[in-house]
Amino acid sequence: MTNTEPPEFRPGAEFPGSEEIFEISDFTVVTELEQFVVSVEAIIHEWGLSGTETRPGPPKLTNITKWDSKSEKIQFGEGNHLRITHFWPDIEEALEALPTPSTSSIAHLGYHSLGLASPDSDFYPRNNIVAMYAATEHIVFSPWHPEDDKIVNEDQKNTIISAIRIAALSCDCELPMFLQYSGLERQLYHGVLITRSTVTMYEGAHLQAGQSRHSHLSGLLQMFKEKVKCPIPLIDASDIRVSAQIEITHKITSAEMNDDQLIDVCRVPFGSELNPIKSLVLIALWPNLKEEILNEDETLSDLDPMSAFAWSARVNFTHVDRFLDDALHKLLDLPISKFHFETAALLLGIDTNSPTSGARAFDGLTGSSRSLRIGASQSLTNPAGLNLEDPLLPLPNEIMNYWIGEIFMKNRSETPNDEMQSLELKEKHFDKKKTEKEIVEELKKKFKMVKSAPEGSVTARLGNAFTHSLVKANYGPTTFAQVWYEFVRKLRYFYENNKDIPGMTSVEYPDLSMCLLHQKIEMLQCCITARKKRHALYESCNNFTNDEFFDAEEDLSDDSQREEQIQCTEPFGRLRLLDEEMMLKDHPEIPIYVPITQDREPMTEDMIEEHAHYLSSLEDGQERTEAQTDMLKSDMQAFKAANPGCSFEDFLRWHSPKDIIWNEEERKWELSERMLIPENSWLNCWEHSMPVPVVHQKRLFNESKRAEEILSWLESSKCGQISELIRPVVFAQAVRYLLNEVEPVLSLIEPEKIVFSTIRACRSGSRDDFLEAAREIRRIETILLHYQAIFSALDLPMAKNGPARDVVALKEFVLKLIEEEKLIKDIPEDCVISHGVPIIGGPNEFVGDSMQKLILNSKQKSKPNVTKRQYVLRWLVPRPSAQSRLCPQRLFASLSKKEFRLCGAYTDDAIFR
Amino acid sequence: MTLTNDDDGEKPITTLKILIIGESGVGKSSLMLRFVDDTFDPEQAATIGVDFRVTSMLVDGNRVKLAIWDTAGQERFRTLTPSYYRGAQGVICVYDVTSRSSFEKLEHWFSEVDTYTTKGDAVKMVVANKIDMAGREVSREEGIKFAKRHRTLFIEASAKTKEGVQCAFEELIEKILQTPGLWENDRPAFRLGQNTARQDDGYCGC
Ligand SMILES: Nc1nc2c(ncn2[C@@H]2O[C@H](COP(=O)(O)OP(=O)(O)O)[C@@H](O)[C@H]2O)c(=O)[nH]1
Ligand SMILES: [Mg+2]
Repeated sequence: MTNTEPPEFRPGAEFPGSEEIFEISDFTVVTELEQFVVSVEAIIHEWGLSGTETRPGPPKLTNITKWDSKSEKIQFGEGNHLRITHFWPDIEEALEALPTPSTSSIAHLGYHSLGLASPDSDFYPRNNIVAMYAATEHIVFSPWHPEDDKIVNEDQKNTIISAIRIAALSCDCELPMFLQYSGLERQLYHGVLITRSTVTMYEGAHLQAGQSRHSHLSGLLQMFKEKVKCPIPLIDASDIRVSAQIEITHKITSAEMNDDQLIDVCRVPFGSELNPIKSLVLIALWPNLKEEILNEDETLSDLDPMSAFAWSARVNFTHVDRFLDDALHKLLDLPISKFHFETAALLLGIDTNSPTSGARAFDGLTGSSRSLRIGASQSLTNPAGLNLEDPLLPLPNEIMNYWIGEIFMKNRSETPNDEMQSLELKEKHFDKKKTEKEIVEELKKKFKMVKSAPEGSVTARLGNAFTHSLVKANYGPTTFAQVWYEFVRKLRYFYENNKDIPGMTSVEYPDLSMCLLHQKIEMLQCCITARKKRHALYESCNNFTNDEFFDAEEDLSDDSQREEQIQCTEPFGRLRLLDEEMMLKDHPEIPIYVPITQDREPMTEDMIEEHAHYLSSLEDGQERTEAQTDMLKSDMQAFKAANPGCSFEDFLRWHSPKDIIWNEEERKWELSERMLIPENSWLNCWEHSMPVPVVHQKRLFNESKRAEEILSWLESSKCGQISELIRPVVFAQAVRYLLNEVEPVLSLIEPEKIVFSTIRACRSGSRDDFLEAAREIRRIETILLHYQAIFSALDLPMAKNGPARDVVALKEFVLKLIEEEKLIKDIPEDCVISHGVPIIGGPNEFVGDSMQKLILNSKQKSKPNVTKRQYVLRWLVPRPSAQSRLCPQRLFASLSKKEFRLCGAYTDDAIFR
Repeated sequence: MTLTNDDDGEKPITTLKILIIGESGVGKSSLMLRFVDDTFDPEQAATIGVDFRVTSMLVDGNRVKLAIWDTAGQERFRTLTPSYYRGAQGVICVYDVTSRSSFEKLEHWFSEVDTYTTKGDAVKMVVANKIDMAGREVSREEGIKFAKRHRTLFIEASAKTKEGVQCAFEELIEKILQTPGLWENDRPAFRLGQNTARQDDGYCGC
């Protein structure tokens, strides 16, 4: 981005001026370096950074969290480019400026030189240059391309720095300017600051290891003094000020194995096999002390964390596999997996055609032997009575039976233990948490509209068990098929034994707002109910008792032969009087009776769809009407049987009273116009209906046929389809679980996203929508997992028993730790400074005490594991000569196993030299 | 489906399901017939079970396919209707202005609507039919008051003279299309807003 227009030059600049306006200016001969300088100047002008600094003093850094920047590309040399960036703090946030210097001895110092003298920027964590060089606002020249434009030799560096110097001087720009040297990740900078009265040189060094004589405070002090070369006797000079900060790392290696095979089917699996915390770091700070107060050399150290002035802490997480996320993705991958086309039985190697399969219902009851193909071991005798099938199936019988038992448990308490725990904890969180509770409650309410299975239903518990079976760490890759297989087998057992499915006794129709799988299970219950009702009806009609009925049940194909014409004058199948005064038209002495009627067939959504599809395939309304006359016909037959001698009018009085109209003129009841139409479907139907009480009618709802359909449909479902059927259940259960737990981390997450993405996915059924929901769930799962991991690392049981105030403090601290960790991850460059969340009160308060117990008092280590030490040395001395005014000198050092970093800022008086 | 008459060959942006409910004899079937075929048949037989017709209409240049479900109002058929509420984006509740009892039963029909449709999942409309007839028993004001109370659309109409019928269906369809989250777009090329429109199509509103 070289400027084509020559920038305006001001007097004093060392470039060819253009005072003689009539002369042609020839810039074709400027060197590359000159060209670079001109470009820099142009940008400084463009950004409005030229001119002497007039601000009183730098802002208070502690309040600044937001930084702003602006950058441009600038050519350097033939084909290289640098990025010039202006960084400045979001001052709005930090209006409070440091007090302007009161002492006249430093009145000559400008805005940025004053910053060097202030302890305010010590270990400032959010910007490396600020921390290393106390340069609040600054300009950085960095390679445009991290490799191609990297500056790696001293000559290059010196040339550019002197060019920057020229530009700064000619623009009168009093901003610290830095050049990034070597690779971006090293965070190595050199630079210069030129003000009216001072010149500051910034010098960086970054080594893998320092000399051992510099590896402690006294060595660094020595080095600093040598470098500054104080021109006056030390006795007359001011004290060197020292700040120090050390990092103590507590590595967490313990694997907390969650190997409980007796799963809790009340909830989805949650947690991780490995601890997500890599390490906890304690940072201890000694700020702005006189040199002699803090001692550290080869032999002794005052840097004992217990004597520090302030503590802060940080957590490092590592990626671990999370149970829920793992299970959800396995579930979503099933339709594209190699299992896709296999049924559960096939996958398990169970031969459903084997002769023993007829006894399945009995197996389900006892939970013992199964109709399995046991391969080679089939021929073995089994004198010990041991179960030979176990080795073939992923889960041993006892565990599987326990799971199935839990799924079909009656009146299962729906509050899992850990929820109780967190409830207990929540109660201590005072009224402030009320709003958070309300947010969660509101989301839970919204989530009620999800198309899934109701919480606590057999279906929901199946979903939970299914999810558990998918968790990699715990079970084999085909355990889910076993869960499905056993579940369906148990359903068959309930049906074949006329037992209600637990929790479903009162189901009348499948709830169409639920997912298909749940509807199917409800439909099966409807079949069970209908069959029981039919049995009861036959038993109550003793006069009709014949053995034929009970056998008839087996006859699934054709009920019609039983629909004999029973022409009799005796009334049958009366339910109640229609109305005291309502008499038969042709027999005014006999009242009209409402007959016992058949119920319509309950329908699941796919049946409705199929029915609707069928109706729409019929060409005209007449056909559609005829296709739906079964119930009308059944009603008419029953009515005729209950009311011997009745007429069509009598029937309408009961069935469609609007179609019987009182004729005022002729003073009699007559049929409505539409019922008078000859050959209308109602009349037709009436004429073709014989008196048949429902006991003898063709069943409208052939429950045994339906039940068999549902069961074999479930049995023959391929894994891909099973996955699709159970998805809405599993996802809804996952969201419900998270909603129960998220309250404490609410400030860090957007819980509505899991709610809405899951509602959408369950409604659309699309895999993409489920993937999206899984992403949202994973986000929250991770944060919750982190929260719980820190809480338990810091000894949750103790925290729980502590006073409420402490629990609140701990909770807030943990949330901040997680936030801080996210923040660090968001910073692209390597961070030079130790970040941390302040621990108010240090070791004397509850939070610090927990940290201390964990990190400093660990039994194994006698000495704390100090992983990093950082120092800032500040000195105000005349420089370069004794006649010079006081100039700020500063050294930042960072020492760790991995690096030795020095950042010096050395200032000279530019006037009194 | 032979009943479809999207003869201009343009693919519909969506298919909407409209359900017509109300007491027997108030003119539900006649309203459907008037809207779909623009005729009135005094010999129309009483509906048995459910009936339905498919048609389509243009809304702002976009073709919308309509599946209109007509139900029988008789007590004995009622157990059937809940099944058909599923997936309905519009529910038309009809009463007969010459029959006070058909108006009084509206309350019952609405509680059924609320039971079987998820709240906020369908646009509701009250149609006061047979305004061509003498012997009115329910005034326009009463109808309006009811509709306000239940926050529904309201129109008076006559299947016989066709007054208000076309307008009733048009209003309902437009309202449905304006309600985000009520309908799924079948045509990926058609977008109401940015791509993100799919992302949060207004569940928050319900
Ligand atoms: N005068 C008049 N009669 C109507 C109107 N709508 C329907 N009807 C008549 O009312 C009776 C019942 O109509 P129908 O559509 O079968 O009602 P449904 O049972 O609600 O479907 C029929 O005889 C129709 O001819 C209308 O707008 N005006
Ligand atoms: Mg009708």
